Amino acid sequence: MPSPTPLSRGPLDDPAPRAGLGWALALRAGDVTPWPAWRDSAAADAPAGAPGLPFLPGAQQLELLRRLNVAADGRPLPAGLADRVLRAGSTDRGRGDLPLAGGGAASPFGPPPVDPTDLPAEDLLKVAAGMIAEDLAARAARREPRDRRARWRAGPAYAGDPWAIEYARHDPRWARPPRREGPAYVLAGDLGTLAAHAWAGRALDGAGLDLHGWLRDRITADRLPPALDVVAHARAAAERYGVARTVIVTDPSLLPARDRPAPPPRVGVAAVELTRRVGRPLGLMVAGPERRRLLAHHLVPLLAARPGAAADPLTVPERWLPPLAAQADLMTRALTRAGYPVLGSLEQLVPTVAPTGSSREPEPAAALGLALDLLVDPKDGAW
Amino acid sequence: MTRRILLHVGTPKTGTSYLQDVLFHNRPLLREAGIAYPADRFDAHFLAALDLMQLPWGGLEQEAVGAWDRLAGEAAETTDGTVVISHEILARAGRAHVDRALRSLGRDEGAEIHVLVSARDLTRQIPAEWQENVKHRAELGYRQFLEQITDPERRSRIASWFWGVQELPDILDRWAADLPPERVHVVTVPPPGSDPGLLWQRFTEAFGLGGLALDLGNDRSNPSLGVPETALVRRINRSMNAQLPPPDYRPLVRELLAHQTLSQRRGSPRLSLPADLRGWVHEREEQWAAELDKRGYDVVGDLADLRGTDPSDTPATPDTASGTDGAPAVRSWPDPDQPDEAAVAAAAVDAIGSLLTEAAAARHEVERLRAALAGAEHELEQAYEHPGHPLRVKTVRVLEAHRSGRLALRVYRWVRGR
Repeated sequence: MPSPTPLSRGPLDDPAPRAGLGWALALRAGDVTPWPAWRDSAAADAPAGAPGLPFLPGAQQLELLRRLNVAADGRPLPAGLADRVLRAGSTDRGRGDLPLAGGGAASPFGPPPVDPTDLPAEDLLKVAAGMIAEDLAARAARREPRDRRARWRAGPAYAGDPWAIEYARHDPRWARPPRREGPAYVLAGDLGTLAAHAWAGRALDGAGLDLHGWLRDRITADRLPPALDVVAHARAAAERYGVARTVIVTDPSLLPARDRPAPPPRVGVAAVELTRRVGRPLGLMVAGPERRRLLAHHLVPLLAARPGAAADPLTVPERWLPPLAAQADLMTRALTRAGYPVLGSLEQLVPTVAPTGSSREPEPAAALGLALDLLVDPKDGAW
Repeated sequence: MTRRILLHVGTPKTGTSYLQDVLFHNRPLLREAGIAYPADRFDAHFLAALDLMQLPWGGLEQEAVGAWDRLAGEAAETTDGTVVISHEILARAGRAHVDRALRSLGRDEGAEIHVLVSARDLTRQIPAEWQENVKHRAELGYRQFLEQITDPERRSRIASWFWGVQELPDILDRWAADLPPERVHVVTVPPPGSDPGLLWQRFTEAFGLGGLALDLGNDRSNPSLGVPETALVRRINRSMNAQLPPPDYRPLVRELLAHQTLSQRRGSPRLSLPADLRGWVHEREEQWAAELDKRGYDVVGDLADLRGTDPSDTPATPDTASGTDGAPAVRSWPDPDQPDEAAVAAAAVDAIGSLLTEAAAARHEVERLRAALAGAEHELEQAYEHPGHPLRVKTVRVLEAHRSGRLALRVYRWVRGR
């Protein structure tokens, strides 16, 4: 190979990206001007150098920083956040860093330039998710607080609803394996909610599909994912504990107080969607069980404490209800035939339209709103 | 003497797997020659790339936690000599990832960083990428794939990934914007029909491996599938994706069916570009070759290799050619979306045969394990029935109740090899 020569001129010395560079510096200082207005203003004649900026970030990073400034509403961003955004890479699949439209001579190569104000929330979420994942890995407490006596206590055996079980098994009242003698509680509910809970349970493992994609992929007229099969859950529990000690629970309030687990944090589809997205890059920062713990027991409670986190109910869009209702009828008959005790009513397996009428498609914009809120106001102390 | 880093960042489908396999299996020899290939497993650099780019990969990313920092740390231990890092998906890295990578490899401490890209003409890369997608569970047809990658907006995942790892001038803009052209090396893949050893000669030259007695026998290259075989795998994906999780898909479909069975079939038509797309593709090939030439990079091979040739079995424009009787005879382009059904069925029979063989081997293994388990259970029962068993149990209980007893037990078990 030929011998090297001195380094060439860096890209930030070129005049072309200077307008974008000026915008980046202004955003770092808290500006909220959208790119088109900045580009067309006199301020676009930016400096030739950029201390602390080794490269011009992509449109996603720049627009995310602008949105954070808007969300901060005049307050300063948490220390170092602006620089972290400008140096953040995009995570996961999909579009890489995008150039700014009108930011100088457009390259004939690479993705087409964009107006960042037109970017879909999805593109911004991928950057934000990586940053929240970093915060979680760095700031979350190492373990959940438990009652000191919990180490001597065994909880009941739970099966069924993966989302509810995640929290039931980690109830701070018990830390020992489930009681061998039973009873086993099969946590169920209307299949619409149960389907969303099954997806939410997968989200804790960094699943690749949003709710809409997961439903489309996993639910057909004659097939349900195993997590939704209440009959199979009950059968498996009965093999170990017996039919008489396998209890189908459709109304958890009827459980004896000593066996009634704390309910999962109240979050909606958007909060779980953000959790899922954070779980993707988080899976490259911590081991699988730790990822699940950080998401379920740190991020989800954090989100639940935010206003609007449960605005959209955690259930499926209406169009998925008919096939689920048909499956619920089949399940009801099978469970009745088997003779399991029931707390509540098996009719509650049949999904109904949410009372708020808001069982809509998941909105990445709502998930982005939660992400901005979390980054702008992370609260003090450990997550 | 300074540390020299050879960073091979792409592109996929250019013989990279073979190169990486040779480098991995020859680490001791390379080390003696002053070339470090820091890896404790053959896919170590793949995992490092996933970590660098925070890129989930069907669950494999769980094995990648901290992989880039480990790789960079091992590279940093090489105070002089050459370090080689190679993985083709690095081509997709954004500027932030590149900045992190180069900083961690000692760019600011004076390390001499070279970026290498191996490149093949788009004419072959496009069908190869679709096939690679199919071998990674994709269900979309070839025409859908082509429509997505020719969309100028490149919004879809397929298109953004494809151009992210294939568009040579853009890849080098991201990876080598701060490097002098002498430190950027483009290794071209020879055209079809070339000497099979020519690409390896070029890699040897680019990576400075000349004169080393490397063992070249471990071929981990990704063998390609023909048209009916690719169509079959796509149908399997459509039928089984919802039921077959990635950890099962990889060994059964990708490895057993695609790589070990279907790629061994001979005589099937190969995937190629449809006639209506060839002009568009050749235009880009010309543009890229001209741009790379203008930038003055070190080229190992010939930039003319980046200008693809159309397959000789199909005409470049209308899908017709002269028949034996002088009338135009239709020479059909082998369309993987409408494959020869008899050929797909024949491929499927081979696939079933392979799966049956695998299933039979698995059954035999289960039977062997059952027999072993039954034997162990029998021995255990006999041990329980031994008249001395209650006394032994009591003795162990007594010993375990005291520290000195536990110590004595440990010594006894160590002596007995238990």
